[in-house]
Amino acid sequence: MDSQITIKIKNISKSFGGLKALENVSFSVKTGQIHALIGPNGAGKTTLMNIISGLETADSGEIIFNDKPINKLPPEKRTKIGIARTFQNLELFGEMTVLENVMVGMYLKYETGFIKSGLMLNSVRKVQKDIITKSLNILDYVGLNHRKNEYAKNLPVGEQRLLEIARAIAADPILMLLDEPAAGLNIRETKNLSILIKNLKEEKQITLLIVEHDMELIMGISDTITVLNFGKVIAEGDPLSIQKNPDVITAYLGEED
Amino acid sequence: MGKGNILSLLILTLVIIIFPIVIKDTYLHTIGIFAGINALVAIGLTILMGYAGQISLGQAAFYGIGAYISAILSLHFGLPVILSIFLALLVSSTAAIILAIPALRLKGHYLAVATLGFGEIIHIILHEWGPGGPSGFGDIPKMNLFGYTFTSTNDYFYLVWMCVVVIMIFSLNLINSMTGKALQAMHGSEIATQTAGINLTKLKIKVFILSSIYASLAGAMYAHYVTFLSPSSFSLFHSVLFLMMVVIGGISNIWGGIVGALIITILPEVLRGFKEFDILLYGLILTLFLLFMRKGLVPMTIDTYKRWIHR
Repeated sequence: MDSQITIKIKNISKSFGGLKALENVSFSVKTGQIHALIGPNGAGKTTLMNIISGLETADSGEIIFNDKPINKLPPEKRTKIGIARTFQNLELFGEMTVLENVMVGMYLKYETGFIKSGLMLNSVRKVQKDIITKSLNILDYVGLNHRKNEYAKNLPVGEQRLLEIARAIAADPILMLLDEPAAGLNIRETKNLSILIKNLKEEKQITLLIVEHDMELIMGISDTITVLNFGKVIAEGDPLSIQKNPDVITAYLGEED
Repeated sequence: MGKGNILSLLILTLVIIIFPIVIKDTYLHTIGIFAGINALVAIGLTILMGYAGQISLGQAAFYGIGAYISAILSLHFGLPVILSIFLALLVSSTAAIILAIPALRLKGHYLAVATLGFGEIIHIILHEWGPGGPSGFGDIPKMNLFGYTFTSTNDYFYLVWMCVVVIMIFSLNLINSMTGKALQAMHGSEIATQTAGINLTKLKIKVFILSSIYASLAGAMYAHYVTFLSPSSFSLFHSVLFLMMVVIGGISNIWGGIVGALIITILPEVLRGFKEFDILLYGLILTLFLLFMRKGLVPMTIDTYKRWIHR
């Protein structure tokens, strides 16, 4: 049974000073699914994303990825074993071109040493050519090929979000974490994004964990939804059951007096 | 490497070859040699500051280690000069590793503080325990390669600037490789670089080692050219000078290291005519540079050129 679970969040707690950001959060993301994590602002969603990717450490609890605990791994090692992510506050390399941004995402697969790079050995040249070809393919895939030579900072938000996804694809992940990929996107862009996310699951066999506020998008693409409120899991299920869940409705709309 | 860099390298090489032929003044050759030695340090520091985003306030220490170790090994232990230089580079990169591992594992500018302290320690060690103490020592063997001893200013001019060209080619290759892209990425966003699977600490340590090797190579060149060393050439003041070269040349482009080294080396010589006002003018010119050319000379020139082309 466990073999069908890509990542298992086990009793994760985290507080900042006196504020409990996460309290005993547990859930599992099944392999090959699009799993959404929703909840009102301040529910602890981004904190959990940061704990999974290793940018923050949990006070207690465990993260099990492919049956192995990964709590002690630094962020770069987690990416190496197959966890890639995007950021809510866009973390692109602004002064680099769109193509270069994707190329950096591939560095972990093709690291060339200092001395080899400095001497520009043939092997280094060949690897570099490979990386460029593969990066261009990825840009094609997300529909950013026409922007390849522009500086990342000059792209509109919608395309910057796509570029973040492209860079994450470059790491060839098993699990991709998307932190509010639709924030700042217009209706057309959101629609394209939902198609892209579904393609990541179906064509690239990537398991996805998505934090998002756009309910239409979430209800349309998710297989499973986990709802967080004030750092606690209050509901989990398929989109239909979540929409009907009274606790969820209360969390979003407030209680009736 | 882009076309611009290859063209620049060709022009640089041509200027190096022609300079001693056209200009016969030995005094100018000497200034040229010192500019080249400084350029070696500045190129390494540019990569460290501009690409790894770290500041070193102790580059003169590595410069000093290179000079002293290579001088002592060749003078007192009779090792061939080339071997002494190699061992000096080894010693200085070991020192860099010991310094960088604790300092770079922490976020923030701990390296700047660590190198500042390290610079002072090395300066004091040279002062107290170096051969000749504060007054220094001489008779350091001249550079010797495959049985050929470098004696004339011309010899050293070509030797030093050949080193600059080789180091420059190596550095440009590095900057244009995936390693260079990873470095640039780190400057853009540390957390994104980390989550792209890149070990930041390892990368920063490597760059720091590289910059220390360049600096100690420069130091060794200095020792075997001047054949006399004293601790006063390796003080905090010199670390600051190296920093100035990088800032004035422009940290975002490694050509800035060469240009900055030329300016900082030549400027005091030009200002010598102003007698007691020279320090004042020197300070004034540097201040003006920092006020009005913050990006540095090379990046600003490139920007202006691009704007002019697109007009």
